[in-house]
Amino acid sequence: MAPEPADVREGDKLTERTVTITQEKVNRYSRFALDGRDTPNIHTDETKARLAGLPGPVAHGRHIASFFSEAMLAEFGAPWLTSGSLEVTLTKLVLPGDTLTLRGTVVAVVPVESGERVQVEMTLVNQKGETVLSSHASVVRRGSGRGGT
Amino acid sequence: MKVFDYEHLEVGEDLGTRSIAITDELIDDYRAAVGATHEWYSQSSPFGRRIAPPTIFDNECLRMLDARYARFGSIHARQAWSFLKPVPVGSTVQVNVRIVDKFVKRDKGWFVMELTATDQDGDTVCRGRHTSVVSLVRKVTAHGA
Repeated sequence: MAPEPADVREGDKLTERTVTITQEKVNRYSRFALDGRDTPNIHTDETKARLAGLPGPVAHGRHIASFFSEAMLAEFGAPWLTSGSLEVTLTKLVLPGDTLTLRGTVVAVVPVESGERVQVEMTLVNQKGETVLSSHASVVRRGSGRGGT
Repeated sequence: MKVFDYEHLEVGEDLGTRSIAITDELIDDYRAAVGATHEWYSQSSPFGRRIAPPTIFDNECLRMLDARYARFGSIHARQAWSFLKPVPVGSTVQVNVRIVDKFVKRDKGWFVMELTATDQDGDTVCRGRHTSVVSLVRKVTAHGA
């Protein structure tokens, strides 16, 4: 059970989320990125991917990075949309068939003028235990008055 | 189209501004593309109407880069976002993208694009920074990106 935003404190864990990346999901993002076209590319086509030196089609980094934002919205609600900040580092390729687990921890709660800025570290780990993306996120919780870490 | 390699990328270059109408169809397409399921994307939200996922402009940096440069072989390495205002359906957002930095690190070329999205009220709704790795030497290919 995710902590209520009003109760969140340093050390709290975000709700763990798991998603399996399929070629169909990658194709769907590619279609969106290409305004509805199915033009073969390194994300959707084995030959194109191998010509680019990849092991095969790979997921779009920005597709996978969006999972962090969705997790923060689910945990913190409206403040994420008005004060959210997210920095993502993409470290390994995500391939169709990978199952990713998102984990997050509140690492600090820092007083700011308008309330408290909650800082969260998140990772996406594949089925081999490899971190494929990591991120630092923060969001301002207004008027809590608890302050401190 | 401009040659795409580290040398030819121009820091300070304005890649353009695109006007994006936030329609039900666009929100639904993006939700499906990334698997976003929050209820505010499909029904009313605390902001009145349904809203777009805040990362909905995540494709715009590369879209605008690809309109200028014959891109091939870049690797997305970092992405940053600041979300400032939700974007409800019915909004019209102007999205501007610029190349703001390039540098060499660990024998690789890196470049940074900055995105600013502004709504019909003149309010900035989000800012993004996209960092990719690019070849230091021009790659010649007959296959395209």
